[in-house]
Amino acid sequence: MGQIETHRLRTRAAFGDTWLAILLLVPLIVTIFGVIGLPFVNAILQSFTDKRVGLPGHFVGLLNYRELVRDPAFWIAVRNSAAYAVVAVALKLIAGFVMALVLDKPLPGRPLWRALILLPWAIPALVAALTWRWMYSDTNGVINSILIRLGLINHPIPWLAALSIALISVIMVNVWKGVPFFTFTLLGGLQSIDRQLYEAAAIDGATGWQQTRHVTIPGILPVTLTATLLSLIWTFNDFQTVFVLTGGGPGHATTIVATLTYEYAFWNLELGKAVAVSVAVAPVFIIGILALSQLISNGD
Amino acid sequence: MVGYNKVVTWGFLGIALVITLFPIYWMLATSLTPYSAMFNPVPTLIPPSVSVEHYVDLFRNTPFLTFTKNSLIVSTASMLLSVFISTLAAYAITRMRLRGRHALATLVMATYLLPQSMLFIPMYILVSSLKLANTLLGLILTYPTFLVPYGTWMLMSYFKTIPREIEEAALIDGCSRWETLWRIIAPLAAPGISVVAIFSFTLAWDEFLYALVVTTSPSVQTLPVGIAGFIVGDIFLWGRIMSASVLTAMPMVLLYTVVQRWVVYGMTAGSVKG
Repeated sequence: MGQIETHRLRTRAAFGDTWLAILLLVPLIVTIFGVIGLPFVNAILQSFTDKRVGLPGHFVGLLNYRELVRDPAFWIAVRNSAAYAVVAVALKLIAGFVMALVLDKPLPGRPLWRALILLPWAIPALVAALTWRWMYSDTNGVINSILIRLGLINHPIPWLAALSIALISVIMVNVWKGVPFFTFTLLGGLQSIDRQLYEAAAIDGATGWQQTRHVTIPGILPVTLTATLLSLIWTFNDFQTVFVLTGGGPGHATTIVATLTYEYAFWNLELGKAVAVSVAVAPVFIIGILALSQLISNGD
Repeated sequence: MVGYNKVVTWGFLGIALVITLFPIYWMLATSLTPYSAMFNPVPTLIPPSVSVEHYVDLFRNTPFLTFTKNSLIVSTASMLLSVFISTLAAYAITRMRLRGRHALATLVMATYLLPQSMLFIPMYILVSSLKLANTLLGLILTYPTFLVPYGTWMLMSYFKTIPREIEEAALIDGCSRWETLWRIIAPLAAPGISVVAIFSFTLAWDEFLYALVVTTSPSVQTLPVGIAGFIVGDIFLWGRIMSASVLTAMPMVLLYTVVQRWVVYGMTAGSVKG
C-alpha cells in the first residue's frame, strides 16, 4: 500500500468515522456518567442533607461532616483502614516476591505448583472469609485445636473476638487471598526480563545477590509499583472480608471506612451521614487513582 | 551452594502449599463431616466418616438452587452486556480518530479503579429511586458499572496488539467500518474478548457488596449474599455453610484450572483485582 493512499484513507476514515466513533462510545459514556458520575454527584448533594432510608432529606449544610469529625468511630475507621491496607499489602508483597522467585525456578512439577498456588485467588472472597471464620472459631475451630494439640496454647484464642488481635486476624485472611495476585504479577515481570542480562552480569562476575539487586529488582520495579498501588486501593476498601469475619467488631476494633459507611447507612439508617464518609475519603482516592492511571497509561 | 538453594526453594514452596491448601481442604473436609461428628470436643484433621448429609440439607432446606439460578442469570446477563459495550468502546478508542480519546482512556481507567465501597450508597440510592431495588434487573444494570470500565481497559490493550494494516486492507477492499469491526477485528480479538468474558463473569459471580444492599429477599439473592445469610445470630451451621461454599467455589476453581495461562495473561495485561 502506497504512503499517499494510506494517508488519504486515514484522512477519509477520520472524517467519515467521527459519528460512528461517537455512536460506539455512547454506551460507555452512559455507563460512566449516567451510572457512576450522576449517582456520585447526587451522593455529594445528599451528604449535605439529613436523608434517612425511605424518607426525603432536608438541607443541613455541613452538619454530617461536623458530626463525622467528632465521631471517634470515624477516626478509628480511617486508622484501621490505613493499618489494614499498609500491613496487608506489605505482607502480600513480600510473600508474593518470594513465591515469584520460587515459581520462576525450573522445579519438577512446576505447572502443578503454579496452579495450586493460584487457588486462593480463584476462590470467591466471600467463601474465603467464611472458611476462615470457621477455622478461627473458638468453639471447635481447627486453628485453636491444632495449636492446643501441639501444646502451644492451653485455651482457645478468640481470634476474631479479642480487641488486640482481631484486626491482624482479619488481615491474615486478606493476605491469604491476595498473595497469588502479587506472585503472578511479579512472576510476569520476572519472565519479561531479558535472560541475557543475567548472563552478562555473570560474565562480569556478579554474584547471585548482586544479580538480584542489579538485574531482577530494577527489572520488576515498574510492575511491582503498579501492583502495589492497585492493591493498596483495593485492600483499603476490602469490605466483604471484614464484614463477614467480624462485621467491624468487637466494638470498632476492625471497623474500616467501608464497613462504617454500611453501619451508618443500614444499621443507623442515616444515608446522608453514610455518604459523607465516602465523600470525606474520596479526595485521597481520586489523587491516588489519577496518579496510578497516569502511571499505567505511560507504561503502554 | 546449589544444594542449599534447592532446599530453601523447596522449603518455601512446601510451606506456601500447606498454608494455601489447608483452608481449601478444611472447607471440603467440613462439608463432608457428618453432623454428629461436627462438634466433637476434639476435632480431627480427617473426618471420622464421610457423609453428604450437609449437601442434602442444602438442597432440601435452603433456597440454594434459587441462589445458584440467580447468580447464573445475573452473571451471564451482565457479562454479555458489558462485553458488548466494552468491545465497541475499546475499538472506537484505539482505532478511530476522535478528539479527547486519550482523556477518555484515562477516565475509563480511573473509573475502573474507583472502589465499589465508595459507590455502593450512591448506587443503592439510584437503584431504589428507579424502583429496581430487590430485583435481578437491578443487579444486572448495576454490575456493568464495574465490568465495563474493566473490560474496556483490557480490550484497549488487546486491540493495540492487532496490526492496523489488516484493517486498512479491509477498508481499501470496500468494507465499511462496521463490517471491519465484526468480520475482521472481532475474530482476531476473540482470545482477548474471551478472557474479558471469563473475568467479567467471575467478577459478577463473586460480587458481594452491591448484591448485599440491592437485594433483600432470598428469591432474588445471589450465591454470596444468600450463603452469608446462613449465618443467623449465634447459630452457625458450618456444615451447611461449608458445603455451599464448596459448590460456589468449584466452578471458579475448575474454570481457572482450565484457562490458567489466560489468567496470568489477564493479571499482567490489565491487572485483575486481587
